[in-house]
Order: sequence, then structure tokens, then C-alpha cells
Amino acid sequence: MQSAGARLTGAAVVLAIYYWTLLASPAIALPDAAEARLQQDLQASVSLFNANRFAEALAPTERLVARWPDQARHHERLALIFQKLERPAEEARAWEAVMAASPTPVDACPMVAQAYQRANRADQELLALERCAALPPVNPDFEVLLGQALLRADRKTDARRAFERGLELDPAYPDLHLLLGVRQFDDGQLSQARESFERFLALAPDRRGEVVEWLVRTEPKR
Amino acid sequence: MTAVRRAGYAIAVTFWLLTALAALLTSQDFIYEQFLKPELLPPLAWFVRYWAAVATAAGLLWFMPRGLPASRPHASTWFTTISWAATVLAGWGGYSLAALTPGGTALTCAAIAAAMLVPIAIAEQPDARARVGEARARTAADFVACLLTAVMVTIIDGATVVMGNGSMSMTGAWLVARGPLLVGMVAFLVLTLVRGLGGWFSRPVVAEARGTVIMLGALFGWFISRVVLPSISIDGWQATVGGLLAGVAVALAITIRGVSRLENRDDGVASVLGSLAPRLAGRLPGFAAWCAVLAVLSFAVNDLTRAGDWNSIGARLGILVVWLLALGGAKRVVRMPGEGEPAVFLGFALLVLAAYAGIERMVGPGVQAQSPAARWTAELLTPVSADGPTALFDQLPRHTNVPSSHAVAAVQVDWAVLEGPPAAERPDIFVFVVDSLRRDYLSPYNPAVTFTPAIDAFARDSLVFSRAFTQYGATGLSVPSMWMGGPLLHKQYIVPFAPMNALARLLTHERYAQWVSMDNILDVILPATPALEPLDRQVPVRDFRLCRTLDEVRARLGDRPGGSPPVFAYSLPQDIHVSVITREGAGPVDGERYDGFYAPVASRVRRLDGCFGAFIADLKARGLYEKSIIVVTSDHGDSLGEEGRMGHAYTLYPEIARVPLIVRVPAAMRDRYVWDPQRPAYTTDLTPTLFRLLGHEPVPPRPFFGESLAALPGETRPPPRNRMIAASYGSVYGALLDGATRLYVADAIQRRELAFELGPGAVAGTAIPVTPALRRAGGDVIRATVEAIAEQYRFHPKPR
Repeated sequence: MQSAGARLTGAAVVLAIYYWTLLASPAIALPDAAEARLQQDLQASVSLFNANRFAEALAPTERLVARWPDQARHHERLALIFQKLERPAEEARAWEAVMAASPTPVDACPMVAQAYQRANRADQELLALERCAALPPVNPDFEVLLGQALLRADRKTDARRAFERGLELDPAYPDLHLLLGVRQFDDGQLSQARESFERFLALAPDRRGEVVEWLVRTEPKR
Repeated sequence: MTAVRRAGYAIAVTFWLLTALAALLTSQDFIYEQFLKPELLPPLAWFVRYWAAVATAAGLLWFMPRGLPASRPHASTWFTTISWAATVLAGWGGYSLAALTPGGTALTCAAIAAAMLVPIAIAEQPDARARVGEARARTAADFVACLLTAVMVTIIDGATVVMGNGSMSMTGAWLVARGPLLVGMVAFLVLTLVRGLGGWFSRPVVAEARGTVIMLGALFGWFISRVVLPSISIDGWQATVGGLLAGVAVALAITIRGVSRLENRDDGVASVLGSLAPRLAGRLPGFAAWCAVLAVLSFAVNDLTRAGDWNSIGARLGILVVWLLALGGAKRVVRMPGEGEPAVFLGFALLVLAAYAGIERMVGPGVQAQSPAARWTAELLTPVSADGPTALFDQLPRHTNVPSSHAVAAVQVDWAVLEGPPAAERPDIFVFVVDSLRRDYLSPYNPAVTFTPAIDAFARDSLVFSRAFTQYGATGLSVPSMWMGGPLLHKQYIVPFAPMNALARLLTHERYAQWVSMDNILDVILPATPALEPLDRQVPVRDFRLCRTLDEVRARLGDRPGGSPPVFAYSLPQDIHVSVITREGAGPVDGERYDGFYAPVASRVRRLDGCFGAFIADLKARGLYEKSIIVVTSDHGDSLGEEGRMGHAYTLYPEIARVPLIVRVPAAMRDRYVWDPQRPAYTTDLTPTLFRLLGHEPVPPRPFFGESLAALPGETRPPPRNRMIAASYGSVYGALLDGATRLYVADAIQRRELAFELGPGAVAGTAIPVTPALRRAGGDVIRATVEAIAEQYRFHPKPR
């Protein structure tokens, strides 16, 4: 291959092979099959979820969560799928992942606690609600839920403290006045209970029946 | 005398290259409006201002060693001198760079300046024709030189990575090595082609030399037409032809000594390429020293282009120059006694390709390259998808950066019929659009941020729109679209702009005192009225700082007599703009650590947060805080090192598209409306929001305009629609899809597509593959919006 023509031809052929291999052939540089499947998963997860086909949406959503563990929205969709499938233990785990991944962990509240409740994990439910109540932005709803969970755990003093904390956050929250009133009534602090009920009725005059209902439920315990 | 002559030649080439660059930049409206007019590039501004004097001085420095009687200049020197003098005289006569405005004249000047390289180069040729020997095959020497070049640049680039990261993985080493290896082999094949072609001529050595210059010219031409010009919106045949001609002129100018003198009498290729390196590189110690020089040059380029806008262009030019200089050194030092069997070396080249393909399959996609050269290689090795939106890529440039020579009449943009007396409730309005501020540098959007306590406290009182986006990825169009309330024709600018400035008309109708920092954009889009009381008077735009502006606003509030009209204060502080940070040395302004953040930006955000806190405290002390509308946002985000990207010039990535948007509205006003901070919001939504808050029911002038952030009680809002966004300075368009949870990008400059998933967290977005469904949905949104805008302005794009 010493002649100019042979060298020219040889170089041109090899250059053509370079071009075909590096730029024209899709064999090397196209996204691999795994990436393409993840993209399909993304679309399947969203569309199946929106179509209420939760069992079918589960597998692609789990793959998305495995691929993008730091994206809370996939964990959130997974949690909602477990909720619809009535698998509370797994739902709670998914909500925990939302709390870990989201810049606003409070997004998972109070669903995480409710999932624990459905899974009969009262201890975890209480812990979750305590965490929710400590997260910004402060929300008296969580104190209500925490107080109610504490009542179910028969920790009445702690429950009363939760209701009091809730009222510090929002003195115009009628349910908190009612719940605190019932606790005060239960503790024999009748004048304080009366004040609480009066505040409740002042804030929610159309809910008079609830006071009676609570008192009826509380009375036999006395 | 020889040294003086060479210095004069180098000065002349540099001078005309700079002139061509300055004229080229001037020819583009957006560069002229956004960078040259406000003098954001001081060295270039100085060069332009004193161009005629510099031209005369450079001309004298070039001519003196040639025109003296002892040097007996030949005819081409006189021809060049006369050409130079005529060009300079034309400059003195009114066509100097300082007098140029965007358009064809500036482009012609750029072409003339580039063409001046040719007579200068011709004048550099010696009178006597070089003696030429017999051409011989040099396949072995070429192969070894190209391989040596690949090794040199791999070591230099690898050192850059190790210095940055402290270590390098095997995969990282492969990503660094593969580019130089492939480029080296391609260079070897091209040189073999040139030698083969040269063999057909009667004087093969001369033909080889000229062929090498043409190849270099083609390489420069490719770089200019495919990398440089598209980034400033020059494409099509103009870019191809102009780039190639300029490339050949540059190649001739820098290799003329090699071409004309033929140092290696029997090797034209080595004569030309060897002239790129000094003679001392021909010996081993000198070659080692040359390698060290190239390493320093490479590090310097990396450092200089680290933080600038358009940084990828500078970085790539640096890579090209270092590779060529390395090849020049290698050609000087490699001397092979034998010629070698070409078939063997061509076989080696094929082996390298096979090894590349095999290793690439093992490494697989998705591994990120860590040096500018490796990233560029990865980009070049990404094939243009055959099923890409070719028609869209062809269409978008015609709708982008519409030149001032293409006259387009203003259209009337009315959000509401403004009649009757001003509103009963007219709160003071303070709008702070911090240029380039990213949402993830503010604690309301990113819990990891600890340096914005004042904005954090302000956000707790305000509406924080978690999914806010800019309409345009840079200031040039973002600001006008904000005042208008929707996307506009991609042109800087339609004048008069007043019929389209809906916000300005609202403020005038409501009799607001307008305290506005007048920058180069507001000068064009904001009509002068008696109510306009500019802030930051006599302060150059590049020196707008939030702290200074807020001090002025506070002073004016203190001096405001009772019964004064309400105030609309607006500023676009430049504290963290990439050009400001680059000019200020790209370092933090305090001694604090900002782990996980780009310290030059984070430290400046901390500084402006302090001033903002003081301003809010002052408003509270005056009893104005509760009664004011206060907006903190930005005109676009910024790339701060993501995959090596910096700035926002002509790209559209999630970190550029997403912006902070924090709005405080007086409590009573806020309670009258329904707000959904999780709904996608855009900077163009501010104007319709202000219309609604001031009692004028906003009706979108066109379906693609913004929408009020405040909804009426009981109003059923349609689901968030898919919306188009775009870069301000290039044909890169995006579509925000599915409630702005996905971003599809059609980059018509590089003819590629990108897609991102946009999560709710601090991370702006995660790259995802482009699927046919995404391409269809995104392309439809972009195409429909671009065409609707053209229809609104009765704009008929010209073919390019």
C-alpha cells in the first residue's frame, strides 16, 4: 500500500467506517433499554393511577421509587396506591419515605399516622403524630389528632396537654375547646369545662348537639 | 528585527480577529442591546471606543519593520498596507466600530476584518520560493505523532480532573482518554488523506502543505459555523459559508510561515503543523517544556471559562487550541527513520475504533464526564436522532432573534378596559426581580439554605409559589414579557413598546408614582411619563445592587409627604448575575463556608437578604408593611456548575427555567381571593394578578398569555395548561407539560432534545429520556405558541 492512490483509498475507507460507527450507527449511543423502560414506567404509573387501576400501577411505581429514591412524588404515589389497595403497613412505610425525601415533610402528615393506625401500630401512630406536630408550619390539626390518639392509648393527661398546645396555636379552633372541655369535665374541673364548652358554642353555635353527645359518652365513666 | 517583525505580525492578526469579533457581536440585536450598550464587557467596550487609534497603532507596528528601506518590502506588503489604511480611513470616516449598529453593515465589517487576515498573511511570505525536496510517505511518523498528541492531551485533561476531584475512577479515565484517542486517529486518517491527495500533484510537498492548511481551515470553519455562530443566532448558509471562509483565513494567518518557508523540504504536512509549535519543541527537553506550557494554558482556560456566560464556547476554543498546539509539538518531535506500511497503521486505527466500541458497551450510558473536553467529546459522539423533530428544528430559528432589519409593528395588548377613577384601595407595590436568583438558594424553597433568614421570615407571611417558572431564560425577553403579561415576538425590540406594556398602562391609570431602576431594557419598554421617578440614576446597570436601591427607596419613603400617590417600586438588581460575579473575581464576598452551594452566589444572596430584612423592618416601622404588595422573584435562574454548565445565555435547563416567586398581599386583599401556591405559576402571571388586585378583571389578550395568580371565590379554574417557555438569546424552546411536572426542550441550535422531570424538592429537575409521546406533546405546544405569536404580530418569518 505504498502508492498515493492506495493510501488515499485506505484512509477514506477507514474514515468512512469511523463515521458510520461513531455518528451514523445507533448501536452505541442510544439510551439503553433500562432507561427507556423507566420512561415507560413513568407514564404507566401516572396513567394507571389516574385511571384508578391501582394494582397495575404498583409495579411501575415501585421501579420508579427504586430509580429515583430522592423524589418524594413517586413515594407519595406509591403510598396512595397502597392506601387504595388497603395495605396499611406498606403505605406507612411509603409515607415515611415521603417524609425523608420531601423538603416539606409535613406533606406526609397526617396520612403516615393514619396508615399506622390502620395497621394497628398505635405506638408508631403516636410517634408519627408527635413528629407531625413538631414540623413546620405549625398546625393545630395535628394536636387534635395527637390528643385523640393519646386518648385511645389512655394517656389522658398527655392528651389534655396536646389540646392545650393546639389552643395556643389557634384559640379559635372550636374542636379543641370541645375536646379540652370534655377532658376538664372528665377531670372534675366543671367550671373550666363549662367555660370551654361555652367557647366552643360561641365559635360553632350550630354544633350544640356534639357537646351533649360527648357528655353522654363521658358521663358513664364518672 | 525578526522578533519585532513577528511581534508586529502577531499584533496585526490579533487586532483583525478582535475587530471581526467585535463587529460580529455588534451585528446581533440581542448582544448589542444586552451586553454592548450597557458595557457589560469592559475590555471589548474599550477596544470598540478606541478602535481607530488602536488600528493606527497596530498598523504602524506591523508596517515599520517591513516598510523601512533596509527591509525592501515587496508588492504584497504595499498592497496590504494600502488595504489596511483604506479600512482605517473608512473607520475614521464614520464606519468605526463605535458607530456600528446591529444589522448587515456590522456583518460586512466583520467579513472585511476577517478577510484582512489574507493580505497580511500573503505579505508575510518570503520573496524567494522555498526549495522543495522529494515527498515521501510518512505514515508511521504521522501515526506516532497523532498517538503522542492523544496521550499528551489525555494526561493534561486527566490532571485537570484529578486536581478538581482529588481522584479519578477507571471509568472517568476512560471518558477522558476516549476523545483524544478518537480525535488522534481521525487526525491521522485525515493526514493520510492529505498526503495521498498531494501525491497526485506535480509538487507533492507544496500540495501537502496547502492541503493541510485547507484541512485546518475546514476545522476552524466547522468550529466557527457549528459552535460559535449558532450560539449567537447566526445559522443556515450564512453561518456555513462565513464560517468556512473565516476558518480558512484564520488557518492561513497562523500557518503562513510553515506554508511559505517549508522548513521540512520533503514534508509539507510537518512544515505546516510544526509551525504551530516553537522550534525548541523539536528536541525532547524542549518538547517536555512545550507540554508543560500547554498544561498551564489548559488549566488557565478552564479557570477563565469556569464562571462565565457562554463559557462552553471559550472552553471549547481552548480545547481546540491546546489539541492543535499539542499536535504541532508532536509533529516537530517525532522523527521516524522508516516510512512504515500504511496498511498496518490503518489497521491500528481500526483496532482503536473496535476497542472504543467494546469499552463503550461495558461502560454504558449515563456516566457523567468530568472535564470540559470529555463532556464535549460525549456531546459530539451523541448521534443526532434520526426521528428528531426536524421540521421544528428548522422552524424555530426563523422565529428567533428576529433582526431589527425585519420591521414588525407593535400590537395593542389590553388586559382590561382601563376607565373611570383609580381604585379605592391602591396599596404600595414593591417588585424586586433579582437577576439570576435561583429558587434553591432561598430557604423557603430549600431547607438546606441557612443564609436567607430575612426572606424566610418574609415567606412565612407570604404566598410562596412552589412551582414558579420564567417565561424566558434570560433577561432580554423575560423582563418585557413580565410587564406585558405573556410571551412576545422573539425580537429585541419592537418599538414603540408602549402599546404592549400593559403593566405600565395600569400603573399610569391608577396614578402610581413609578420608582423604577431604569436599565437598558426599561429604557426601551417603559414609556416616559411624569410619574416616572427613576431609581439608581447615574448608576451603570452592571452596578445595580439591591442594598443600594433599597436604601434609596427607604430614603424616598421617608421623604414622601402625606397624601402622595401610591408607589410602584421596581428594580432588577445585578448582585448575582454571572457577568458581575465573573468581573468581581468569582469568589465569595465574605469568609463564610457554603457547602453544597456555589459560594460566590450564596455569599451575595446572604448579603442581599440582610438588606431585604432591613427594608422589611423599615416598612413595618412606617406601618406600610401590612398595606403593601411585595414581590420577590427573578427573571430566570442560572446554571451554576450542573454538568459543567454556567450561566443562562442560550440554554434552557430546569435550574434556569424555575424561579422563586414570593408574593405578599395585604391581608384583606388576600382574603378576597383564592390562592393556590402549588399551581404552576409564571413570571408573566404578575401583570394579570395586579390587574385583578387593583379591581380590573383581567381578560387574556390571547390564550397563550399568563393568568392571574389570584382566583375569584367560586371560580372554577381549568387545569394548568401546558405552556411554552424559551431562551432569550437562541432558538431553544421548552414546553412545561402535565401540570409543569415535566419539561421538554427542543434545542434547535444543537438540534437535540432534552427532557426533565421536575420534582417538588430543591433539585430543579432530573433528566429523563425523550419519548415519542413527550416529543409530540412538547413539540405541539411549542409549535402552536410560536405560530400564534407570529399570527398576533402578523409576522412572516423569512427563510434562512
